[in-house]
Amino acid sequence: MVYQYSVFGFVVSSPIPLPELVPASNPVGADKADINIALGTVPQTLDKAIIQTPGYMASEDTSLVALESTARCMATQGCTLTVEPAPVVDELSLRTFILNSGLVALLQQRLGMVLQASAIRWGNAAVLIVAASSAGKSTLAAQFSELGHLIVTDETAFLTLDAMGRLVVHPGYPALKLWPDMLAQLKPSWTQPNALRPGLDKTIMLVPERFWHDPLPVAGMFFFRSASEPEVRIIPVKGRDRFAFLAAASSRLAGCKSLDQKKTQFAMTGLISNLAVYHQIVRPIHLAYCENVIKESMRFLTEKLPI
Amino acid sequence: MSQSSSRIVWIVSYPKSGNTWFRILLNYIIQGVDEELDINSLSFAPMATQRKVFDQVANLISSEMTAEEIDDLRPDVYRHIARTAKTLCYFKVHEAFRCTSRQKFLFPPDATHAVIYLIRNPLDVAPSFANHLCVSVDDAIFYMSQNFSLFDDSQGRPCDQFPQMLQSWSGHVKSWTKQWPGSAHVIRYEDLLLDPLPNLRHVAGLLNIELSDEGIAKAYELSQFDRLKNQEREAGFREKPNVCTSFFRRGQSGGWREELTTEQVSRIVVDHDSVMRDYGYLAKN
Repeated sequence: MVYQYSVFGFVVSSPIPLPELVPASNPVGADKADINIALGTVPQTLDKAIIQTPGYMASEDTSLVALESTARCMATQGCTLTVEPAPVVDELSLRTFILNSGLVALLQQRLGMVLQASAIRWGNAAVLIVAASSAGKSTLAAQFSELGHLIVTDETAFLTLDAMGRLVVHPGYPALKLWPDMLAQLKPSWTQPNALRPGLDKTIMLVPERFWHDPLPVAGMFFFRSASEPEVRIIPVKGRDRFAFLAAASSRLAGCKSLDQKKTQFAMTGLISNLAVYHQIVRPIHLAYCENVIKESMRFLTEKLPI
Repeated sequence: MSQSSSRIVWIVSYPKSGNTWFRILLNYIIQGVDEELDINSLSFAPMATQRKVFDQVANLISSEMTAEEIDDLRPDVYRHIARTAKTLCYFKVHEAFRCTSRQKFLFPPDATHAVIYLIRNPLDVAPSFANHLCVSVDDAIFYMSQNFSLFDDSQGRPCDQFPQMLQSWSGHVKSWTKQWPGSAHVIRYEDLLLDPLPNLRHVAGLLNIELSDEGIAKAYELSQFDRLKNQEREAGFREKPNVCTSFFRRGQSGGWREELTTEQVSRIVVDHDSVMRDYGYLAKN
């Protein structure tokens, strides 16, 4: 049995069911999928590895990401993801790892830019919320969705240039990952959360009714961070930070880049740094949930990017 | 340096034992600057438990990993940092020394250049720790007596730091001075206050820093407790927990005489008698 899904603008074929993803609307032949997930043996090391860290290594066309208790994934040429599950692993942990690490390693091999970001639909465009994991991206995306702005992606954003040279973000999959304290504050009425994986309090909520299915031009980018400040502030990203912030957000599982990839990313960086909204949202460090974050973000976007 | 990959200096202490002050002081010594630096710009010696460091080095998302998975990878993360560092790198540590569930040393000796262990009289630690945690002094004393005490700000969700296993105050000292496979350089906080120069000269030598006595004295002057308190009063301090009113409190030695009751003193002495004697906080006999 092979399952086919659409994610980040690609048709993915997988022997492992991935119910978080959207089923492919136009299934293709087994050999025609853009990305093929296969079960198989993944080597312990890579020949000619140029990047090597405790959980990750990459050579020119292959990346390997491993969490020994869960799985090892090998991404090759942006097309094939070989998965070797650990001898004892539950389905949820395996899927979480494939979607968050395996798929990201593979996207990094494609012609585009991968950011640690969520994105919401704002009018006919998208606004990205860029931050490290657990900084509050999903909470803010959930708050936007409560106000009617659909979710384009959560945690990982894949950006490319479209035929007209515009910067676009591709829809990920309709799920939000939230911690129980945020759930308690948000009190979402729209769906029941499930455990992301055993042994972890983090939850995942499938939100197909709040999901936008098509690529959208990027209109703005917020870099979300916390600081010892009493109030929420939205301030422009200036100077060297314009590139440093973007570089940090795109560094996760970034392997070796071909000349074409470097050229594309250079062009995309130029477009991104000229966005009308390229700002930091600074929230008080001790307030993981803050009503003023969504209030200020809405006020700011309404003023800068009127719909 | 003993080995090319032994580049980490662990600055270790039980909480509220002068670690942050020492980091600031050491930063002045290493940088050799002669003007006051902003305490909120201090990036020297980040916490070893910082989630961001782990995520960047391991290329994984720690908030979606179990505590055991994180623990298991941490020694390799430190090894990687040590292997790729061009100069000595410094980490602040509050955790007790221990092994992971797979019996790996959490702080790998092969990645270590030095362990500097700051010890402070537990009678002075208790009131300061109570202020830090915003609990009563009695509760802080109880906490300091518990073998499995966990220092954890997470409140059910991942915060910037991984939860830290402290052990009791005595257990913490013994874990680094007796169980750590190398040799920890123990510095008494009280000695640093009373007679800083020989201690700092020794530290500078340990870290291959060439600095004159005048330079060390200048660094000591710039990191005086009153200056840190003033900066915190004027601009706050980002490392201050939300629950307490100020991070830099008194910084004195012997303040316990005004802050603890006789019964509280007795409890601390009973809990930590032998280690207090070993480090001169109680008379040997």
